[in-house]
Amino acid sequence: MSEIELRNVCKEYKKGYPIIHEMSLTLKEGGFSVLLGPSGCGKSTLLRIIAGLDRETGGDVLIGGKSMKNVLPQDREIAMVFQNYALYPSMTARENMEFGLKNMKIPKNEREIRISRISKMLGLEGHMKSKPHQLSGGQCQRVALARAIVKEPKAFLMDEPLSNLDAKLRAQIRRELIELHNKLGTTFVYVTHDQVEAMSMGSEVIVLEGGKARQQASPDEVYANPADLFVAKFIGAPPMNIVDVSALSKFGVAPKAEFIGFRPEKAMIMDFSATCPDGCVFLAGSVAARENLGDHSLISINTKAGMIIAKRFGERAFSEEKAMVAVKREDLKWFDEEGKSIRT
Amino acid sequence: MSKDKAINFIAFARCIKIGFIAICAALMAFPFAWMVLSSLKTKAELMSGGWLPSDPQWLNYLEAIRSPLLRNIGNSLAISAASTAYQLVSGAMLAYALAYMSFKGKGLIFALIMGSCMAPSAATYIPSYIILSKMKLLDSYTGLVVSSLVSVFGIFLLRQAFMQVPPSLIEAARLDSASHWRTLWKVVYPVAKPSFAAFVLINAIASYNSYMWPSLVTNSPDLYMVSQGLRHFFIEGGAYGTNWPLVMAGSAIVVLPLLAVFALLQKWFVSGLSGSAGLKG
Repeated sequence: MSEIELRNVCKEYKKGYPIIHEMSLTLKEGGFSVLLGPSGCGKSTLLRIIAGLDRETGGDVLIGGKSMKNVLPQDREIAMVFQNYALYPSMTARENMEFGLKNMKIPKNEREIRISRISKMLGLEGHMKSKPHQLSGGQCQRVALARAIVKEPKAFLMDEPLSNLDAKLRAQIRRELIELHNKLGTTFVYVTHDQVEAMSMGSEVIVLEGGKARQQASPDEVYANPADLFVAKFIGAPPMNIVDVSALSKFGVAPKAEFIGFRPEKAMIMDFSATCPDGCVFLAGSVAARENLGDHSLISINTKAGMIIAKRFGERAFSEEKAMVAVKREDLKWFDEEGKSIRT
Repeated sequence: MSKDKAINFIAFARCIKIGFIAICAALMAFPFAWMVLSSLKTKAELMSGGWLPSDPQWLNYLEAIRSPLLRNIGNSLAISAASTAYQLVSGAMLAYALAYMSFKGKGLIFALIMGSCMAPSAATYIPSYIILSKMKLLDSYTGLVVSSLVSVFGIFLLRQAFMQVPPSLIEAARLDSASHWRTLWKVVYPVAKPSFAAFVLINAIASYNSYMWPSLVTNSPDLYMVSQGLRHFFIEGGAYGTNWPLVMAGSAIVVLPLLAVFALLQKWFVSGLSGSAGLKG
């Protein structure tokens, strides 16, 4: 059992200024849970509370059903991977991996077995005698992962582990992490501000903002049915188009709806004079910008409801000055005055 | 300015810089040179002036060595080594607690430690003397070591160095089930080595050079430290009888261990004091 449960967890560094508001979450055993949010949303603090490096000011953390109230970080059977790797600079890769095992009083032959297995798994065999400063960023990252894996913890906590790597390496390690999670089947808790990482790796995504969990769902669900305007605007590149309900009122709207959202790829661009297909809502406007991104292009259209961004795949470039944006009714998302999603 | 002129200017500035440093170095080295040259002269020659000894008196050194000076050096080295070793361990532990642990009254403890620097050392002589006498440690090696077990400056130096160590390193060690003791010596120490070197150098030199306090708490010539031993040369022959060449030879011998330590540690000494703690990016 290694489910992680947060019960009404609060954290405030200064009285009256909570970083985390009464948060209750359950992170599934064996899941790849990603805590996603902008900087300052409390995601790293939450991870540190789970690790025991920061103490919660209220509520309780349960790992495998047991309260962690009086359990020290080293006794929580978790391993953490830090943003800056936190490798011990004076030790070789091998010593870095072995340090924790020695402290845990694991016998020598068992240590040997674990280290050789994990170093093979991560392709580190050739670098075991190197010190961190002799290793590249990607290799350091793998050593940091290996150091966590050899401990055979109940859960891995990762604090933006890829943010120090260049884009190419990041994509590669992202794939390796998915593979690793499949192989180990251990609970992963992963903190990031990068939605690509969250969407591509997570089995579930928890979107955090202002110390509150806005939505906890699978990546597909978070993308397709954002729980509120914040999630809608935070996820997706470019984010969901949001327009005021009045702009489309002539088409008939859901009750209580104040805002309407639709994904850029759901926005169809048509010639200004074209007749719209049935079951669509449409907005007219002038083209403000065109961005060609290879397999698709982004077209910004200035309408009376504000700027709309549409994604257009392949096809010929859209060269008209004026355009019509049409969206199928079933692709519209409705939000009430507080920004909460309305399911229709 | 044309490129050539710019290069000329840089070369000129470099010359001035090197010249300035050379003059400073000569000024620093002069007393040492004077000491060594004087130690090879006869007393009459030394008094009459002149640079080089006409007939180097190597026997002066032999005579200095035959005196109790070597024993004094031994005393000083032993006492410096013992007290510096203890200062290092206690200082590192205190600095570790001040840098990485959070507990009630931490600020107050740090303020008290730093505040004790403010008291002039002369003001501490009497209470320290009374304490030592109550412990019956006057006029003993133990007393000399016990009275310098803690170095406030050292605690401060190490604390500053420890603060430069990324906190995630300490947290990683904690999650790796390392005890505080192991974290200190296996993780923090290797990173903060230059500061430890500076610590050793500064405290060992201070202890080796100390004169006032040891002469207050020791009586028997067997326990004399180097500064007391050197003084002995001065007073031996009465007010006008001071055998200067012998004093110089003794001083030259006394300085040797310090020069050796400095030569060994000077590279780390500088980086330790400049606060980089040997950490890169």
